[in-house]
Amino acid sequence: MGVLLTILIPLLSAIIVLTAAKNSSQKVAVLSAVVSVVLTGVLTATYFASLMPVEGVNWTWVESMGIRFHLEADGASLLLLLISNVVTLISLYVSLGDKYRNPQNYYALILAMQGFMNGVFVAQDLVLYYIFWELVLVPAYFLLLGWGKHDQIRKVTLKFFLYTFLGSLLMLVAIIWLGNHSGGFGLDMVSGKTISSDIQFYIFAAFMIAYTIKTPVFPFHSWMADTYTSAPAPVTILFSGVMSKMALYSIFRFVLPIVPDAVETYGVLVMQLAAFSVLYASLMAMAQKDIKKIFAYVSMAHVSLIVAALMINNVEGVQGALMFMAVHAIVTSGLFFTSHILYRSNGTHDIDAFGGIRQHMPVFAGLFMVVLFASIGLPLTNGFIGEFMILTALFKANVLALVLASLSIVLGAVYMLLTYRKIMLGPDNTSGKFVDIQHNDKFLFLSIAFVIIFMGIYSTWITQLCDQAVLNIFQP
Amino acid sequence: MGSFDSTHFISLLVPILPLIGFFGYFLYGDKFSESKIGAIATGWVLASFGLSIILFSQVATNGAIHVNYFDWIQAGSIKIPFAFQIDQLSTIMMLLVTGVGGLIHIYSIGYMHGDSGFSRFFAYLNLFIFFMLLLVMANNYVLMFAGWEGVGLCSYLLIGFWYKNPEYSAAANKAFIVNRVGDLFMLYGLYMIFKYFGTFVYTDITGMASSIDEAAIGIVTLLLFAGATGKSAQIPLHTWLPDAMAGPTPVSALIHAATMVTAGIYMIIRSNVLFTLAPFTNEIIIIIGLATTLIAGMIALKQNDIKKVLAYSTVSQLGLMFFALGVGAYAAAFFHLLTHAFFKALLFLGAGSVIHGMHGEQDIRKMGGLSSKMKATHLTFLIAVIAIIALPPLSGFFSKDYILASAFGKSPILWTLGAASGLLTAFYMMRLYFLVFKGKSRVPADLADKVHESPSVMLTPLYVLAILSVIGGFMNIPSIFGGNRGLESFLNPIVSLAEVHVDHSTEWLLMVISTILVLAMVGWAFTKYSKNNEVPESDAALAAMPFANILHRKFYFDEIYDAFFSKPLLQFSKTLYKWVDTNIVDKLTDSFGILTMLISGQMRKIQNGQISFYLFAMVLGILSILTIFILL
Repeated sequence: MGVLLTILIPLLSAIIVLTAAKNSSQKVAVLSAVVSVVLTGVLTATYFASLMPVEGVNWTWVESMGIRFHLEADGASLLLLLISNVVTLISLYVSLGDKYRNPQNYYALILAMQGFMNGVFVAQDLVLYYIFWELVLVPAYFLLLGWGKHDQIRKVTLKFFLYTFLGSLLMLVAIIWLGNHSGGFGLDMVSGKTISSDIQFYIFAAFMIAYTIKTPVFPFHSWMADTYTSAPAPVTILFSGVMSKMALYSIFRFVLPIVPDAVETYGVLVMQLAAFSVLYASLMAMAQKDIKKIFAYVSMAHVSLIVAALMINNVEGVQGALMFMAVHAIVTSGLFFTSHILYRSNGTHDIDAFGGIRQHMPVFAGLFMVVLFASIGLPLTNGFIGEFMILTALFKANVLALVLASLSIVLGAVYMLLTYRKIMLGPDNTSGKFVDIQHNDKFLFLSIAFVIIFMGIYSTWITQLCDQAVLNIFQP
Repeated sequence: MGSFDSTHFISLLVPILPLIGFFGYFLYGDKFSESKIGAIATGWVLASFGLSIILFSQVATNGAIHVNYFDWIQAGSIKIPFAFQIDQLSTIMMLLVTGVGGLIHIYSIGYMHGDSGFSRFFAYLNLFIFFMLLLVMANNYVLMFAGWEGVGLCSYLLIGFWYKNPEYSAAANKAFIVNRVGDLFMLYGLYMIFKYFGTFVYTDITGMASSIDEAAIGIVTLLLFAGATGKSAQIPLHTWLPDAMAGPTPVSALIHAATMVTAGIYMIIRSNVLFTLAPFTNEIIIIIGLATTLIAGMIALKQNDIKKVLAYSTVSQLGLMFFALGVGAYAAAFFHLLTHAFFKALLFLGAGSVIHGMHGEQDIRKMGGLSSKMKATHLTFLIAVIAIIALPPLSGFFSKDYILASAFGKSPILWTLGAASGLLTAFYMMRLYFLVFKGKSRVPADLADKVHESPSVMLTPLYVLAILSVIGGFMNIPSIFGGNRGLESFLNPIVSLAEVHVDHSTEWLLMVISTILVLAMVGWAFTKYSKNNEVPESDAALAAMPFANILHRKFYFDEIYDAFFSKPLLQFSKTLYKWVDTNIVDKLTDSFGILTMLISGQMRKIQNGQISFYLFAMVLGILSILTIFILL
């Protein structure tokens, strides 16, 4: 039941927000997000107590087609639920400092998106999963269209929607085939079935195109930069922090166990493409003048690395991937929060409009630096843990992929330190309208920094959380 | 082991205390007075020093201490403990880091007096001590790497400490990025270690080394060495260190002379079992070490900034240590690491005292005759100079002599090249000394009256370091002087005793020759800069001198890197973004969309509502299907 609640609480709260008074919508939303985080924490504790997947519900839905309303959360699902709910809370917390048009609609859409995303992470039936997956697009679409800032916001939104929707359709075809083949859509029925190797290839391709678009990985990323930059910061945090994880989680949950032979054969190609994508995104980040775009490409480099890690297809690689999902969720939230604070002070993301603001914002400067060094993988921040696990496994798997992916260790330092220097250091060449972060912002940023360092020192609880789920794939 | 193991606890406290100091800054950094903050920050480090002494005595009597705290990283077969190995090597490093570190903390109380970032400075210094201790105490490569990058972070923070100056923050970025290049190779080395050894723990690796493929060990050691060239400023990754002088002078003494830059040497000594099995790597190390020590020594001849001279001197001395590592004289390299830490820290602190007294002036062409105005600084600086140019019986003599004797054991040519480096050192150090302290005063008139000696809080560390520079050599007296190489015997569990195949009469001869040559250099520098009062050329005059200018411009390393790496990389990324990403990838994606719209637009026209057209289309369709069926 608890698992079902992770979906129901946000959705019901969304309805409450819609009907509640305008000025209370924000409070209701934050309260709901706090409850969701606490609930996920309780579920995680339950898991650690028994080391058995947390049962949800398992109802017959469309009996004739073998579709069930089946929810369950194993360790990996719980990790993703934690990511989803914590990042939603961060996103709502970031929203606290801003005023939004139609706040009821805005907060209701965010909560709805949270509920659907949670559904993606616990659905045990492919059709149910697909429905949640597509439902996420609806609030995402309206959030971007209604609150995004771009001269051609309709074009940006349409591109985002069509592109990711196109990928999903391919996935739907694969899901239908799998359901027919297995006599039902339950994950337990579909995985482990013998599928001929050419069919495996088509299913692999269909799934991976959908997921590499959503992640995104080169060359399917062209929707990403504009979408991430024009969305309001809290929505960007949701997109990059959670929505991209839907794709990464799905690779773990569906692709690896359902088409293992295809992963074995073609995984290395995707791995190299993803590794190239890390390098490509790092080079793109270097060429940007828009702070938010820089961070968008940083995020792309990180998620591409996770795709490469999943394609290593062994315990170390997959554990590294899951770890880095948690890492990326926190770090990317921190980065987009940073760009948002800057935007609030100066009304722009243009890097040239800043300079020497460290002296006005010492607390912000320090916390920004923590996030920055986490994003370039400094040891004792969480960024190092995931990256090191992945690259160690990648070296054993494929040296070419390793070299492509690891160059970002240097490139990341180049553009991130340059960015920091241009924004924060040097003589003060702004009109001095910068005030240091306070109250909510300070509390949130401190919490993010704390989690970054805490996870950088004590990380094994995440591996332990995911251990059984990962082993189930490799030792069924 | 009892329920409460005090060694366990003390070992953890050693690095944690300075870390508490760092976090304390956020609690009281803007509340307490300068003197209080300075005293507290120094207190943490000195407390660590005290605990390190306890651990040292335990190691000396009972041997290495291994303490395991918790699993830091764990996934499948990857298992990295958060654990310390406190053995003969690390315990000396701990004493060095906390001891010299503590002295430099004390000195900084005076040097940073009145700086608006006073408490922040001490927070960074404390954090540095934490990471440096982590580096030397770790029992595995990954935890050591955490300290390794952590000290890089502190170096970055402290070089750019005066962040309002854009040049300083540029130097800080450069230091971190160049180090990252080295670190990338180091990481490759670590990945490879895991592939072949399946572990990162030193003791496990040492046990397995002889059973691993030699080619693999060769590559691993090359990669580790490449990592060391970054941190320890060896060619081709040395360019960041001279720029790093942008940081406050105590930082240059602590980080960029005595401790952090020697991390590469520590790491190789730590891995000596692997390096002994890699003859090719050792040859590369000899070549790089020699090239660095000679080139940096030559560059130092034509530098006119007091700190730049010392920076190149550091690069040169580090090169000499690598040279020693390459010939397999690990104990000699470590010996020189220690003595160098004493006299180079002293030189930098002395330089800091001069800069302090000169109100920020660093150009040695504007100094001269300072010995009368800064007596204590002058005396201690002179001791350090004598130590570094290796005149007996000061510490530098013993350590450098040991390196040269070991080199001679390999080949007389190596000895000659090593000795040549010593001659360069003798000349540029004496040049520096005479230009700063002797001869006629060239101090600008408006400054001349204001030159003053530094306060005692700055001078006390100078005295201590001066004593250490004098007696430091006695910790490893060779048998030729009736000693028993105490340091080397102590290190024996980690580094096997070097066999120096040089008989005593040859050793005497070599010693006398090199000492006479050094004295000749001293005489030459004396005549030139003290007796004849020569002043180094102005920058404009230097530009007209082809060879000297190459030295003055540091062999154009920076310009070359800028032209071949920095600028092209940025340009490449911009071109890639503009042409590939915007014009190809994005356009292609959009064109799919546009194509769909065009087709659907055309298709829509077909649905024109005329029954006759539909009929026509239907017939056409049936006919074409039939045709296809017949043809197939």
